[in-house]
Amino acid sequence: MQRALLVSVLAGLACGVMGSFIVARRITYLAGGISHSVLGGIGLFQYIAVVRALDWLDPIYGALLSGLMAAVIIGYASLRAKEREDTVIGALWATGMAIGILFMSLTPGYNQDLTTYLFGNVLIVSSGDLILVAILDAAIIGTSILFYRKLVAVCYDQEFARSRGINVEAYYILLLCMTALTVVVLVTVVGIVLVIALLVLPAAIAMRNSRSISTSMIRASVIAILLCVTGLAFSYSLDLPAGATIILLSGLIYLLSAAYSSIRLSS
Amino acid sequence: MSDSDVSGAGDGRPVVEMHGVSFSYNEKDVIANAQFSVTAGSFVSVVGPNGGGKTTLIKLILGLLRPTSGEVRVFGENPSRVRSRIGYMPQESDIDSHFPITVLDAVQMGLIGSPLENESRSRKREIVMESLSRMKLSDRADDFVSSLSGGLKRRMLVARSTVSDPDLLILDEPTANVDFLAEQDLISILKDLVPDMTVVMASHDLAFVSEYVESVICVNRTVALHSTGALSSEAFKEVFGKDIKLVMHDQHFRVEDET
Repeated sequence: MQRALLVSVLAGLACGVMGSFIVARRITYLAGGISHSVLGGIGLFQYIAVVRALDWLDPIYGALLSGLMAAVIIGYASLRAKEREDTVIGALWATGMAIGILFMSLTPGYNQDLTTYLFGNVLIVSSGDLILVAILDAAIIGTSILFYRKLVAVCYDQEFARSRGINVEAYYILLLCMTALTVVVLVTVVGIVLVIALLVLPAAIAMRNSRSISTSMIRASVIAILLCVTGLAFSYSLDLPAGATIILLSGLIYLLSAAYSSIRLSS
Repeated sequence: MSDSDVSGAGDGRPVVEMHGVSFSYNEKDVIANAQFSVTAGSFVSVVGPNGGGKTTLIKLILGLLRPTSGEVRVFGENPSRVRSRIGYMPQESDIDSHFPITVLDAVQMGLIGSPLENESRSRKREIVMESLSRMKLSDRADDFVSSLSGGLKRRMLVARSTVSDPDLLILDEPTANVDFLAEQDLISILKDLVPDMTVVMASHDLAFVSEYVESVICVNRTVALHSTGALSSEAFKEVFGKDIKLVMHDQHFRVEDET
């Protein structure tokens, strides 16, 4: 349970930071494409690990590899062939899932991992997973702080950013790669199917009253941590799936905040 | 000085030079053999029909596009090497109008890539507030850009493009979709910037062009330079492919208080 709580805190930090960029830039569908494609890497690495008896080959590394590959492909499609972007995202989304399911079905022995990766199970997170999540968090937060102004410029006005000498292509792909790292962090908590909800909802709640992306990041991280920990507590006491409980709670809070904003505006 | 040179009120140094510049996209000529120069302190407009190459010419000057043939020089160098001396206001249509950013933060983006980028946080805020004050926007510094009217948003974009105190200011359709009063407001701000700054502005507003700028670069695949005084219907017909009649209205209107 202690590891579950620690992973929830780390996941909340990552999704608060990256979720703010994703919501502000309105690239939820790109993030969705990346998140579903990671199943391909998970399935492939699990198959190789079992068939070749490579105990050290954690499927989560496959998720990292396939997520980063999807980020680069989607990034280039978005920058160079905007009219084909939807098709590329759809293709990666479906192909990634199919490859994952295929290799998992070919993997000999009892295989409960498909459900775990699709829907998450923060209660069975290992120490190795915790260390990896901590490293990924450090990379995500460190990169965001180091390149904050340039990333915001690229998100807000690519043309102007180019005129200031910013390599827009490189920073946009960096943003998507950071999204891929965040997806891998969140898969352990809520699974592939629900990753997007956790990535987007806390940031969407925070952004309503934030005067800057940086303020939104701090607020979204706090909100995400509270949602993850509270959701975990509810799921533990009511014997419910942790990932789904966290997302239901997030969705409810988002709807309440939207309703409150709407009432405030109309009055 | 040749017919293809625009001279301003500055010291006569060329700021923008195009030597036989052509640009093609998907094997189609967008700009063909552009040859002109703009000297320091000029106020120049780039005019032409939609799709005629105005924005392409602007991007060639900025170094955002590389010519297929010929050479572009800005301050005597490749444009990508002098970006810190150029201010740019892109077309507003490229910006997400709902992006959560304050006026202060948006204008501060204009310091990226300039020597002022490494100043302290408080000094940068001072510089941004000075720029906003020149555009009469200092009271809106902490407001969201999305809350600004069209005219105020244009002023914010001018503030962003001038905050780094550039020597060359390039604007792409700054008065598009803006009402008459906001347009006049923007024009008076731009006129005040010249001759300390060289201003090159793409515009489809021929009335504005004929009244306010010194010279016009006419673009419709080919590029021709004219001083405003020498503009004729033949010149416009060559660019737009049709006869265009410009009528000057010498009427003054005054709104009277009925109370």
